[in-house]
Amino acid sequence: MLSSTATAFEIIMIEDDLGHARLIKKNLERAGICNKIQHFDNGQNALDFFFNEDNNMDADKLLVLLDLNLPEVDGYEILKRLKSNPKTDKIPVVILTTTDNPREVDKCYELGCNAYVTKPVEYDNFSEAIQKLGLLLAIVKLPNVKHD
Amino acid sequence: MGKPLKVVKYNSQSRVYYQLLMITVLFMSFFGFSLFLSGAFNKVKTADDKLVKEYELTRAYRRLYVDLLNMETGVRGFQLTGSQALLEPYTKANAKLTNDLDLAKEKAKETPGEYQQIEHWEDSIIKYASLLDAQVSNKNSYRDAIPSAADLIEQKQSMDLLRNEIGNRINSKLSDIEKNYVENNKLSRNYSIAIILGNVLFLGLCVAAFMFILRRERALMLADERIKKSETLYRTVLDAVNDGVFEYDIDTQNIFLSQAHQNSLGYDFKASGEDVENYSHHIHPDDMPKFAEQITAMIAGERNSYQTELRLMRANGEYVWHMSRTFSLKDSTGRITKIVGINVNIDEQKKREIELEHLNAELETFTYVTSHDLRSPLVNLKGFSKELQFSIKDLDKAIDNIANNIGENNKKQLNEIIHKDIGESVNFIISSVDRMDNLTKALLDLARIGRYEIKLENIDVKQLVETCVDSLGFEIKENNIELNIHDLPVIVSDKVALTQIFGNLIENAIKYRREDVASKIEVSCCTGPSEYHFSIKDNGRGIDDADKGKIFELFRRARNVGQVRGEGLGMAYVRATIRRLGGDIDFTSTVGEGTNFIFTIPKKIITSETKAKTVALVSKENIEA
Repeated sequence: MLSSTATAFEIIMIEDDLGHARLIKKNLERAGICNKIQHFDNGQNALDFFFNEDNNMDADKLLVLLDLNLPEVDGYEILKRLKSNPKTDKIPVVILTTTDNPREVDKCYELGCNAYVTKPVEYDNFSEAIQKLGLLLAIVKLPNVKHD
Repeated sequence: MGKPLKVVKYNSQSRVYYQLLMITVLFMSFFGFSLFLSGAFNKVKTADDKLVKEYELTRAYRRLYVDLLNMETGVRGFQLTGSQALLEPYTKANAKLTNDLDLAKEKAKETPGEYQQIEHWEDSIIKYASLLDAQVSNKNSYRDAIPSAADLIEQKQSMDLLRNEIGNRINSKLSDIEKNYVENNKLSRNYSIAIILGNVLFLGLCVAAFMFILRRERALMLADERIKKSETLYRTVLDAVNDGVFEYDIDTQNIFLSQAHQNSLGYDFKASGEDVENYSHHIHPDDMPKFAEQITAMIAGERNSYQTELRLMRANGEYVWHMSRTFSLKDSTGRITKIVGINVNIDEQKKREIELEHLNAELETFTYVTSHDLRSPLVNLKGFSKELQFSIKDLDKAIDNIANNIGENNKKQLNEIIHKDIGESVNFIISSVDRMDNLTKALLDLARIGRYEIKLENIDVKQLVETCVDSLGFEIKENNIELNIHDLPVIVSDKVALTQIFGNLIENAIKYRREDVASKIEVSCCTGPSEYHFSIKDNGRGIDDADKGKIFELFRRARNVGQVRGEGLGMAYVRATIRRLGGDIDFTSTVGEGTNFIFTIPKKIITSETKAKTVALVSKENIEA
């Protein structure tokens, strides 16, 4: 089903809360997203991954799930770096965070994030949000890859 | 306070000017009078001299005349008697004649026209004298000699001519002299009168001037005294008030600091004051540019007064916050001469204000950050609890699969553990997390009010309330609630905030109605001098006096809420929002009768843009840090 169209990309999850990371993974799986998920619990490690010259990652086949509150380098910084570098600016970035402050939402969109999802405490909502996100990822990916 | 400083019109310049003018007038009149007097005196003197000369000339003529008469008389007597004694007048007169003639000639020299006259007469006199001389010598030679008739006639003619001419001359001269004498008398009398009048006038002028100067000096003295008095009073008041007063004299560049001001700053500059250079060193360098700019603007006359907060350095180097109110003083010509200011020590307030600002910012940051950071573990708690519930279901299935292999007792025990112990625990965890989540959300909402940036616009409150009511339309219709919206004003405020306030209050009025009576809600407003009083009045269940304090507290509700659901957040939120707009809320209520919520909104919202910005900035920095 969905997985057939979605297998093409790898999900980079940058999330310092291991519990959250686990829950996100579980829910994505429940939504039928079986893509490879690479997890970083530290902003600096994630940056190292994106901007390491030796890394022969395929930017066209990546999607980023990004938390904002991160140790060392925060989510804004990562978003800024990703969107200001021609090598990575086409990678779709979905902000997934507890903050729903309008100011911070605006700031993320200003910096060029592709979607902003709030983590609801209510588990049903949370899993629904993650699963919807999975659907979104499956749909959104194709035009984005061909873009430019 | 301005009065003593305003008396600059009594300045010494105009004083000198008045006195100079007076002296000049006096001097000029004196000089003019002297000129007039000397002119008049010269005139009188000239006339007198002339008169004396005329008189002397006339006397000389008269001598000549007498000489001639004596000579004729002597000769006649001698002729008739031959007596030498009778000839004596002739001899004497004849001897004097030449002298008298010379004298007359000399006197006549000074009077134009007279000299020719004398010369004319001289010929006749010499001829006449020689005639007489001839007769006398003839008689002496011939005792009986009788002069011839022709001689006598000639003698008589000569004598008559001389007597007539000289006599007439003398007479006319005398009448001239008499006339001139009368004239001169008149002239000298006038002269005397002029002197007397002049002196009287001059004396009067002197007295008047003296009186004038005296009066003026007296007025000045009084004014000086008054100035000194009020100046003393002014300085005393300045020294007595605790607030520092400073006075900057633009001309002398001197700065006067009141004693209290010096004391409070720990300085002692003496009364002579300070110069600007020194004073400005006392102002905190950060506050100086603004202060200097304002003072410059005031000296340039662009503004009359201004108010600012600035830090002044004490003698020990410590800076103290002052509220500085400054205004300019002008002289009678409109030129700005002084800048006067009052520096009020607001250090305590200012420090508290800054502290409060920091505290507020910290509190907001704290609430904000914790609201988020608290929610983060909640996501896990809730998430994994749910996962546990999934696991319980999975476990149920697994047990069912092996149910036949384990005993009934074991199965029952397992079921009890799984559903009663684990399941119940998980349910408690989940419901507690829900509650925790609601609380953190509420905290977040409240925290956001403080950070909310007010956008002012014109709001038709009636229209706004109608919109609120529309969104509650279903509830109102369903419960047959009578809702009256009275006349409401158009005000300047924040639309979002007002919508939330009215929305919450009307919703509460609906929620806490009494089921046994027809519900009625009234929204009205009355306008105060500087604020609006809005009222939302219901006939609901009312609030017990004991709950009065609770209503606006976070997470607390009145006792008689019954089955109505609520978190105890609405009123806390409403009050925080109203206070954010600079107003406040209160209510009157009777249980079983109804409640009247009254809140005020100021006509001018005093949320200073700068203050809001500072708070936002500080909290932002804290977040980023």
